[in-house]
Amino acid sequence: MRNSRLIVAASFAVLAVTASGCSGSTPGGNSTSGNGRGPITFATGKDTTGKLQGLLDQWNKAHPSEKVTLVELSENADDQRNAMVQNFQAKSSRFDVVNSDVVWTAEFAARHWIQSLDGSIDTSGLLPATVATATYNGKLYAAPFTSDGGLLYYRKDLVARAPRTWAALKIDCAIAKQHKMGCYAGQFAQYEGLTVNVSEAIDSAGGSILKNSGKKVTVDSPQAKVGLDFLVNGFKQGYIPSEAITYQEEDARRAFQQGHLLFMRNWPYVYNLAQAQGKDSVVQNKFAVAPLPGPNGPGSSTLGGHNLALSSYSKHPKSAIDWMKFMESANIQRKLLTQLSNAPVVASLYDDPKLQQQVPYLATLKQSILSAKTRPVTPVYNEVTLAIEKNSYAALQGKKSVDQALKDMAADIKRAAADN
Amino acid sequence: MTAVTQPVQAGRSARGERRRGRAGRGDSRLALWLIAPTVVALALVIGYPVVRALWQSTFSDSITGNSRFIGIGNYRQALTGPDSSDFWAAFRFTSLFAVVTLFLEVAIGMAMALIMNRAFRGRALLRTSVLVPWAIPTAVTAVLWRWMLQPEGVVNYLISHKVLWTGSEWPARWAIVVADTWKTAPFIGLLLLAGLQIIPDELYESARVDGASAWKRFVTITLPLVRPALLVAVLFRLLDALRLYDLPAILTHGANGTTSLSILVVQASIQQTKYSLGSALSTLTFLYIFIVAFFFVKVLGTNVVRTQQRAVS
Repeated sequence: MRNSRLIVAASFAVLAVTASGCSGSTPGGNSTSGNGRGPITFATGKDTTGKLQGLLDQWNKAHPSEKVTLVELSENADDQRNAMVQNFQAKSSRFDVVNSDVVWTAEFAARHWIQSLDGSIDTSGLLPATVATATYNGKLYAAPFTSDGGLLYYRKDLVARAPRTWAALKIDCAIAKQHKMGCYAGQFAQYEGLTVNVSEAIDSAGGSILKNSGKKVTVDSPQAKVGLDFLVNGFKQGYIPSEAITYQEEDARRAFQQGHLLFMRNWPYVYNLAQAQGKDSVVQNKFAVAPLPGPNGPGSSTLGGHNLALSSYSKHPKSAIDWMKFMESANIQRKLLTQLSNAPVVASLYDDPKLQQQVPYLATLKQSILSAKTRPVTPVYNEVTLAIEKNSYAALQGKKSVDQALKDMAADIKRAAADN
Repeated sequence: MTAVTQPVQAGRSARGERRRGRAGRGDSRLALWLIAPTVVALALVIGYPVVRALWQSTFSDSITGNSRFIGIGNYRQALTGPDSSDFWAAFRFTSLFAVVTLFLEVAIGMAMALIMNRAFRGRALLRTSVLVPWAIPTAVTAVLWRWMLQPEGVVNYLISHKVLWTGSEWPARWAIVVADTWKTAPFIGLLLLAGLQIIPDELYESARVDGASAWKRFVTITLPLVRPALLVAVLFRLLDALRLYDLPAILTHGANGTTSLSILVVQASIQQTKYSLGSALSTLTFLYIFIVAFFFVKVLGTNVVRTQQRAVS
């Protein structure tokens, strides 16, 4: 009897593990009306601030027959993309507007999953780099919604002025040594963050990965070598601490907040967290932000952010476009910055003195975003980023020479582009 | 299984008394009807996906939607193409992981089972607490270990050595092996415990009277008699290990040579949206696991069904 109970328990355990595949679905009911107007849904990553609904309510109040419903997806970017891809593949009208990461937009457009917005959206007041991420084959396919740029966080209590060049940064590393802390870190684990950091280094040195809408591979250039060398030598010479090879954004943030780093490359979201009082951070009021350094002066950041894209299967595209315009209005963009800490795409907001006072890093962020380069705009972005991650990671670990890594990277990217 | 066969037998004896002559044909027809729902369900949930994946894997992937029939092209690409090194690396890692964890888990699980099989105070408590790691979802296990294995984490503190667990190949592989062993050894222990409990105490007593040492008793009594349960445990575990996904996906993101076959399938079919290549990769993974299972059932004589029946009766 005892045996049988054990067996039953064991088989339930097996069942529980194997059955954990299926999951339910959520609503999104559409009442079709012929004129392209009606309620719409907005699929986006989890809103951890809880403030997004408030902005939507503002629209819903004014447009009771064209209400927008928030569909919150996972917090994880890959899962968000999977959910969107699955809906597009099923030609489902469940998502009218998706909040597409800047690097997905080209693929969605190439697959005809999202509609061209050429002529519907006025992009004149927007930051040009954000418009570039929403453009594929010369046509606008999405409405830039939020932006993002990398910043150099530095300990202003230890260094008087932020380094503007890599050489100056290396000289300041002596200070880090005196204080027994690591000098510089970014995100160097093998994941999307590594692509961001590597393309920043390559762009800062005047190189590039892809050109001509992803048709020409340019990563095996002397400039790219200078860029990757900066990171590889960091690990070799120790100005990047060895544990940084495991860092994602949060690991770097933790190390900086605990006082283990003199310089850190990270996104603007870190600012408020590091400034918060409490045991979590020893750096309140002891740090400041600056544009990323480069080989001979300020470097260039990789552009982050999201675009609003209109599903090809939406039944109410007219309402959706009106709503996108509303979300791009200066009024909403201002609230995105102050309430959700999202960098706006409307250029004029960055020079608003009131906002600059409210958001201390805004002026630096503007510099970062204005000099920012987009990651490769290509429908095969996932393969391209995998090639960048894999080969540069091997170089950082010292398993491949920088030359070899760039050569392999170029070959892998060429093959990915040729496949399609 | 027993639930299906018993009603059939009951039906046979009741009908058999009424009309003995045509019993054979009527019975088989009844049996057919009774198993038909199961066969249909199996065809739908197992047959269809397998056939569909096979069919899909013979087409090319295309962003523009113009995919065409390319026969074994995707298989050739996976096994001998420019990216084939990824497949073989994943194949080697998955196999290595399966063998190493199996060995560790069976050894530790056996030790756990032997201890749990003894009569002592607090045995129920021990049995319950041993199962806690197994009860924790693998995803949570992965996060837990990732936390502990951080450069400034508790593991490095305890060994007072700064190992970058997720920063290079072998430490990353060991991290996954350790996390998996921690989680699954209790499960093996539990399956083996069920096997141990059907061994009659008299055997041990008479062996003891004959002067057999503890080791001798283990090798000549315990091992042969626990063999059926052991083979089932090993088979379950092996199949599980070969489709390893969640631990490396969360712990290392497949970096540092910890990309398993399943991660490769997901990378191709979901992240790169190459469904046909993904189907080919998953078919290859399926074949690999199938061959291993076939070997176990046919060559080693693992009989999952009989062992369960014996345990139930």
